[in-house]
Amino acid sequence: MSTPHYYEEIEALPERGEHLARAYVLGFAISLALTCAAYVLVSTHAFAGDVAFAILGALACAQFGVQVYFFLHLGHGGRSSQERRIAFMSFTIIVLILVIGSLWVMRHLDARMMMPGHMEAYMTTH
Amino acid sequence: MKELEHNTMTPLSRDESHADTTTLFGFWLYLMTDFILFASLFAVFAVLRGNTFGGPSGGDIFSLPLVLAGTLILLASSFTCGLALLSARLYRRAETSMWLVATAALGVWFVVMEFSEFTQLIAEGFGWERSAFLSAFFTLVGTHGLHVTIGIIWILAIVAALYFQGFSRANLRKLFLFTIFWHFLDIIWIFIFTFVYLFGIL
Repeated sequence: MSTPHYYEEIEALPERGEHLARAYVLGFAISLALTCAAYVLVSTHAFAGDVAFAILGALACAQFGVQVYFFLHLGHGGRSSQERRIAFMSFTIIVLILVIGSLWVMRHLDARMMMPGHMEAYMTTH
Repeated sequence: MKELEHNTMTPLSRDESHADTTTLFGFWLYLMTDFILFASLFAVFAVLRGNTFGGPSGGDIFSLPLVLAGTLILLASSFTCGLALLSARLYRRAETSMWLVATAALGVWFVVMEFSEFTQLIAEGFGWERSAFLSAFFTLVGTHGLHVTIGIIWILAIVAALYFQGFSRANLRKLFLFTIFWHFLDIIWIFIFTFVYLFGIL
């Protein structure tokens, strides 16, 4: 341990600095391109309906992946980043269950909900 | 020349290095709980986005150019905060502070834009009490804005600490944790941009 060792990411080694700089520039450029693509898609009405929603969702997920990889320093090796990767993946599973589960349950509930008129009919007959 | 004296750092013991890694992991776990908080608010919004109760829907109140501007500002601030970390690795104090102040300025710009959007909506009678959709919208976007505001205060604290104490070990740690926090907020905003604004406008 002869070099100052803060985190592996801010270690004062020149080649890691270049790697980090490249990651930031690349991440910024790709994010910019994806954001503009989403904007153009909506402003020009190039696609309609479910296709447009699907493309926008895919663009957001791509941007999520790009920013996590390039900005949150989860991409490169090292023990500390592996621990964070594992935590990140388990929490992502919880988040997916939370969001998809809520939408699923609430949509079903919505479909099974009685209309106001039906409710009165049900109350008088039971 | 004053910056040079910060270049000579003493090697760290294994214990100190371990403490840093633990702090980073702890902060990371906090961010993951924040991730869950935002996921819950997203789920609430997704469930309630159609419940406008005769009020406006997303397409009626969102302005596409304004949202794009906000997104680009936040993205640029994410980049400048990365540049601050790069300067800090080379122990360039003035440069680091400059990028941090730029990040804070972009953050303030973003919050001011969001605040003016909110006040305009409320002035038009479309506040959070108007419909379930608007309640969910204000809660989700407002919580993000609150995080950005806290982040701005944090940046200014780091700039002050760098000015008075230089690149101490604790300051470098704070700076690194801050950049992760700020990038995380940018990632959350990508989802707000797409699933709240763009989906609303479509």
